[in-house]
Amino acid sequence: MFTSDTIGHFHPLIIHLPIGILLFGFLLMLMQHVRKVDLEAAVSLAFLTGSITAAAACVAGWLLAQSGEYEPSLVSYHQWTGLATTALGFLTFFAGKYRIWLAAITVIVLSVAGHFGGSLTHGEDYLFSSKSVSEIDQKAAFAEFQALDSGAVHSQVANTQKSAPMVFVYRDEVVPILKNKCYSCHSATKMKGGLRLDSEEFIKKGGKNGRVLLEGHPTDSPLIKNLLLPIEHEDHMPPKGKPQLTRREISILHAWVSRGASFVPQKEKAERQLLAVSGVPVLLDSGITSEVINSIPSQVQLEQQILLKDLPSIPAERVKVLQQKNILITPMKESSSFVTVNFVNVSAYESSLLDEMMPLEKHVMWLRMPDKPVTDEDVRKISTFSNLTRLHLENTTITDQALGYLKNLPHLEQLNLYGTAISDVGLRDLVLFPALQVVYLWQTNITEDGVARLKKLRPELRVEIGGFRFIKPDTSTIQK
Amino acid sequence: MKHSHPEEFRLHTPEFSELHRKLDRRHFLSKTAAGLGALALGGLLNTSAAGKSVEQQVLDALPRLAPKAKRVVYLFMSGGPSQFETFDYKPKLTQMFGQGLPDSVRKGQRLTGMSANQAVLPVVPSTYDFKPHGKSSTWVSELLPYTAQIVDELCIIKSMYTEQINHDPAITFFQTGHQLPGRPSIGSWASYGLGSDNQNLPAFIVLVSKDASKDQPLYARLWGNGFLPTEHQGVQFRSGTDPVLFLNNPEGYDGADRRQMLDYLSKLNHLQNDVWGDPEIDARTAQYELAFRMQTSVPEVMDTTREPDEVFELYGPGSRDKGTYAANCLLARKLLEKDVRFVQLYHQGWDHHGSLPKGMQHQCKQTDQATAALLVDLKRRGLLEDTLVVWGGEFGRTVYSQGKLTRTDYGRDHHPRCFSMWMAGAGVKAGTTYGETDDFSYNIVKNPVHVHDFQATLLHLMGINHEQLTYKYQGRRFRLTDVHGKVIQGILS
Repeated sequence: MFTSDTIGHFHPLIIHLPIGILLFGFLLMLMQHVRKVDLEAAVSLAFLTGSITAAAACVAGWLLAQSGEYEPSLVSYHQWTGLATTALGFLTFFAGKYRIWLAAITVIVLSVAGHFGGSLTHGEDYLFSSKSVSEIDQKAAFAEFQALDSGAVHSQVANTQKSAPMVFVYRDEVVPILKNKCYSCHSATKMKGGLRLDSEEFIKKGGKNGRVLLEGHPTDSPLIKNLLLPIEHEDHMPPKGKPQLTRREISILHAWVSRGASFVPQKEKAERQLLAVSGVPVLLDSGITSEVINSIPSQVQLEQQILLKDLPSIPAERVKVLQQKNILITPMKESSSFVTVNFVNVSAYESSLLDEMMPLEKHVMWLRMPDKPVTDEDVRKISTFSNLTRLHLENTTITDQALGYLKNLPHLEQLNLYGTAISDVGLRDLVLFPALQVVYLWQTNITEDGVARLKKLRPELRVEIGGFRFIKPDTSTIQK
Repeated sequence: MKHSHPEEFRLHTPEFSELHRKLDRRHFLSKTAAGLGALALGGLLNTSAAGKSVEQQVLDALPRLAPKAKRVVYLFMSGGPSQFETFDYKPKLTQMFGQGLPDSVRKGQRLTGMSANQAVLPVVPSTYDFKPHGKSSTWVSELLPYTAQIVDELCIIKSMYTEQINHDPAITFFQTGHQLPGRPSIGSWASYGLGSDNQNLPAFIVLVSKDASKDQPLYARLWGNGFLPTEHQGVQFRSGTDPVLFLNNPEGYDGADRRQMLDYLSKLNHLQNDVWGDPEIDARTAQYELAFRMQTSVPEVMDTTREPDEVFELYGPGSRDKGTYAANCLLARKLLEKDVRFVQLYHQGWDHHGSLPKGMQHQCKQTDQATAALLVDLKRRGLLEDTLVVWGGEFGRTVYSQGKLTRTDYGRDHHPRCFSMWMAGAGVKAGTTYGETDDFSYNIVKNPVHVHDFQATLLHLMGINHEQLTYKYQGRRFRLTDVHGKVIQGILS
């Protein structure tokens, strides 16, 4: 039942016995000297039991160190000071003369050993870290504030364009997370799984089981993947019972990896964009990974399936260009790379706007451009938007030809064509739309015959022709 | 004791870091897309070392799944429409006409001062007939012949309840999640969270029927922003020549002049802002800019002259007369077409303590056709896919008659323990009924829906987690649903 491993695990438990007992023994000794009372027997008992438990702790500690997960040099200091404490303890017990001096040395050596032990478990800077960090923060914040203050008041213009501040995501965002949640097992002091995460070199090197970081592929990188596994899973990190990463922290790491895991500062805008539009897997809370979801095909709605795909984020510069042209871009959902694009604020539409959108051809899921002079040629450009699920072309100047361009869009579910010149000719193409569920055809040139044929060929398709008329109610029967 | 130097004091307090954070954030926001709400911004641009607490708040509230409803139109029937004469059909009451309300139903519940002193509480059935309509065979009163024709689009909730028994607290509760005034309206929360898609129109627009009898007053605070930044306040569009008061340039004042003036004013405001960091300066600047853009966008959207006759016929006789409920419904459609986030209509006059049969007939006649027409119009334009339509009042009415009961006349008192409302469109199950009341429509017997549940559901449909869209004010985080509210899963499609 008790393997050497499990005995080793008792070290942190046993260790507190000798610490307490030996310190108390020394205290008794001091009292004896000051108050002149006879505590000789008690002191002897304390140093005997203290030394015996210290010896037990040494054995357990030695076994624990065999796991190899601790930094060897620190282990060695801890080991020798620990053994010295034990030896000094026994010496004090047997000594007749100079007993109090021996006891004092024991306590000093004990404290040193204890400190090394603490460094092993909690990290070397555990004791003094928090204070210094906050001091640095405040200084930095003050400096930043001053820079901002003077810059903002004195030169508004220069401030807006020229200075693109650098942002260091690795240092400012990633390291604090790793430090809080990962370093306790994966750094210089403890190297579980042979893995250290406390510098670029070690993160890139990986652990016993190979690389943990595959730049640009968060879901393939164990560094991210293991965070997303169900908490009961053997490989889930941090292990059950340890402080877990928050969704926000996971999304930051995910975003950082998916953008190539840079270890150098980047331009501000680009980095902000990075963290924004890169995809965070949905359903983080439930711990379900995208692999699991992909294995349940038909149950999940098409749009949600698309949203799970990994897609590089839209370049920040592109977003800016489109926003300047009053094209509204909003993410489909939390930190998604997929977007809704809306032309509602575009006052002077021209087809060159669609050329500007070409870098987004995989990103656009919903596209709203009603009441604009959109032509068939423009629709041909839209037909490359491979993840499009909803398209609003109502009250545009498109004709039947446009439908020929759109028929190959694999995911198009909703198509709004009301108020266009679409006629029965276009229906031949409409029948072929692979994923179409709803089509709006009110105020087009489509005939009742055409609609009937369409419904026959695509019985599941919902066709809205806006033919609803109220039946004028006969109110005479209502009693007064 | 040594007194701290003011500079030193600022440096080491949370106020200092808060100010620093605000400045940094504002500086950043001012350079990016105006008009996007906190959530939308959080999605597009996110995370720096500074500004964490605000960003964190925003990030947490972001839609986890793509929202179903991009827009909402809320038809508020102010006064408390009776469920008995509209949707909650209670045939068993017919045999009980005039009998006292059994104690087993009332269970000693306190009544309002208006009917507590009545010697008897005579049960009164609806004087109007009900018939099943649509494929869903939903029972609808003969007072709503148009709504009956589109009933398959509706999800009727018969088990709404509230704690508020008087008008103002009840409406305030519905609109803001709290019965005391001062908190932001639902539309303001939506504006704060999601921003405005249309940068030329407010995200939250309010229309009040001019043709309703003003039995119970409405106050602008019902669409107020509370403690949210002022730009999230609902903007009321009026029916007269000036839809938005003081929007037009004074006579003889040129648009170019105004532009120049605003540009200069904006510079001054920025200077002031950098010194004081007061978010209200941002709000004011944004309002000026929006007002300038609205000088052209509002007349455009308010102009219904180019609507074909067929549209006016659809919405009914009142729709040509600006400011009526019917005209407001038509206008609401036009605003939604322009991607206005939240449009709220109010129609007063549903408070029928006496002469209820006549009153209900009048109210229904004024609103029934236009309400149904709005749904039909939204549907054929494809807007119902991502627009949520809500119809309802602040509470229900009693099964017993308030005042004298005759064969043809009766009244009903306020009843918060159950009432009916409906939702339609984006994300709700069409052609369904949710919840049940007992034979007296006095108590709920199945699936109760509290006002906070309704609010949670509304936000959910817009892609917002109601527990996470919060705003810190006076030292605590406020949310629309306070500490309550569950999303009503049973009505979601």
